[in-house]
Amino acid sequence: MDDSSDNDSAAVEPAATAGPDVVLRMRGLRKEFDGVAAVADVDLDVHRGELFALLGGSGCGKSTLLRMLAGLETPTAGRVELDGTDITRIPPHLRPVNMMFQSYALFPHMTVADNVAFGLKQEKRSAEEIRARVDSLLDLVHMRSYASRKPHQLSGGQQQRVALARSLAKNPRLLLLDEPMAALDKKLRMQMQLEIVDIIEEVGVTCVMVTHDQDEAMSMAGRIAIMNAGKIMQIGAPAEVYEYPSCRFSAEFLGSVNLFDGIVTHSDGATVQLSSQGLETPLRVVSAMELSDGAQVTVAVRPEKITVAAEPPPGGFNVAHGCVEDLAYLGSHTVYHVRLDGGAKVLAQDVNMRHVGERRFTWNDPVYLHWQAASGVVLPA
Amino acid sequence: MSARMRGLVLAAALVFLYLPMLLLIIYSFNESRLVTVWSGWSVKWYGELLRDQQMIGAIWMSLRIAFLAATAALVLGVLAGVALTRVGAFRGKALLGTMITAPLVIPEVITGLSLLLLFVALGQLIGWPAQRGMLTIWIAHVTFCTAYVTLIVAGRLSEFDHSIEEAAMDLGATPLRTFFQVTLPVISPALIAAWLLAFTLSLDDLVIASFVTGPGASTLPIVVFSSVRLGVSPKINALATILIVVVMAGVLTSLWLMRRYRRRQQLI
Repeated sequence: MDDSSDNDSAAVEPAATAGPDVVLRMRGLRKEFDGVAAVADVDLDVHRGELFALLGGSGCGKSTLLRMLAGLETPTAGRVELDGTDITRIPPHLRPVNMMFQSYALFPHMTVADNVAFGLKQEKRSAEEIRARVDSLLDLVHMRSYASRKPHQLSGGQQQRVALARSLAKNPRLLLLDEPMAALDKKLRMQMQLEIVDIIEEVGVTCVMVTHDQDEAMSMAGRIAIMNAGKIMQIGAPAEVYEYPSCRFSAEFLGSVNLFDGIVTHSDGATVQLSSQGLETPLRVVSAMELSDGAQVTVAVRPEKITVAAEPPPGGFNVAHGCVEDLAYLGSHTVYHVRLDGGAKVLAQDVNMRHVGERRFTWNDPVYLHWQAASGVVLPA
Repeated sequence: MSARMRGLVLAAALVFLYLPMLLLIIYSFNESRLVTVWSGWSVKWYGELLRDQQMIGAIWMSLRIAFLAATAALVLGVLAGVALTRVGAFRGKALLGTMITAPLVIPEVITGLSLLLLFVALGQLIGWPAQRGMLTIWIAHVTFCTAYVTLIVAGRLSEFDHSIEEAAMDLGATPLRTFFQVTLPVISPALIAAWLLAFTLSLDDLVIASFVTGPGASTLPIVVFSSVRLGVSPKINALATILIVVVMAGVLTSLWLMRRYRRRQQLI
């Protein structure tokens, strides 16, 4: 509970291991509701000072996982360690963990200052100390001039700042954000995302957030865990997870993707060559995976990695031919829906560097699609 | 239905409901000794009322019982409301939820009679209560007032955003502190409304009180009812007017508090 002594012990601890400094460790964490697993045996490490996002659709178990970290749900099995201490069974009011709730959960009968001071008052600190801390927190979130307002007199963005200040008040060792942007309108979201990240970085607190919005996760978090059906599908930096999905689910969950099923014809530890039904040429993908010939795999290619051309491109791989079935002009770029001769449908994204009047292709135009060997990713079947 | 028709129907309903009371209020300012004969404006019956020691004693008794009954019912009702909405599943929860509201639908005569039987049996078995009076009326009133308070409190708690209480615990407040520093203050308008309602109900009750009362413990409705049987004095009109004003004030205040609370909740 005492913050100063924690910092001391952290400094004394030898940083002997070369690996990242793990603050939060979950092992075999499981939560069942009426016999159905909402979170199924999750192992996860969160590093000191990082902003970690749990990303997944509704009902994937991400909120339950977060609530177990806060102590608001008791795990059915497994362990949660914070700085090496087992906190699995510690009730929420004794954990050095604070949470910003989705609805903000500000106390409606208290002023902004009293809301922020609430946690400090529970620790029986002196009045001057509390006042100084509240002032500095309200400065941090630019809400000092609203200190004596009640929550219902604030806008959504202002309520969020107060909620953030309140959850940072006790210098938590771990900050939890539950769908931080869900209650804000779209325009405010972008601004608050950047602002919250700035504040969290300034404070230097380790943070775990939960979101269903991939843009939010990618723009705010240092690392992302994609969750599905109570399990973690993939963990990595945003670019890593997007560019190198490790499974079909994370490839399809983040952005849009074209999937080609193929049979391995050649694999040498640097590239993999496959034959795929309905494509003119073989597929070639840069991959260190050692695959035996004849293995069934899937290749994922993002639409923006595919170029659209009228003439057959040189090379003799990763080429597809088809007809523009549909196109969506989105201002900055155009998405072509191309029906391949083999019947499959492929999305290709073309950046609009010219004006629309000079658009290269229109409905029913025959086109060639091509991509680099380094652009595809082999997904294990 | 046209706007005019609606207005007419509303007026008819209001007249039907409130004309008798309005007449009573007007007649409380009647100068005549005869209740039904109008002979001019006067406030003399209010003066007569204040000089009637029996009446004043009954008012005082009723106010004390109502205050104590409403307070005890508030405590019990809050506990029951919390048990029904916050404690999670426990054995007999559905039973408690149904049984706690039973006093609302059981005829007062039956409640009164059963309580009388209970008090008599208890008096014979353990010698307590030795005789019926203010204490037994208070106990009887607490039983049915608790039902109303529970309904109001449980209703308020179930629409209350639970994450506010979770936030308090997350910030280091123990469950007990959370209850006193967050839950109770947030639902306080509902608590005041429930207390006022219980107070009014206790003040109004005649049937149950007349079953469980004893020597020397006459509440206001009992005194009024028995004096009316001997012949209506214009004093009663004056008293009734005061009662109507007090009860209406209580009900309107509790309605206003509930509505203001609801509007505030919506703003958040």
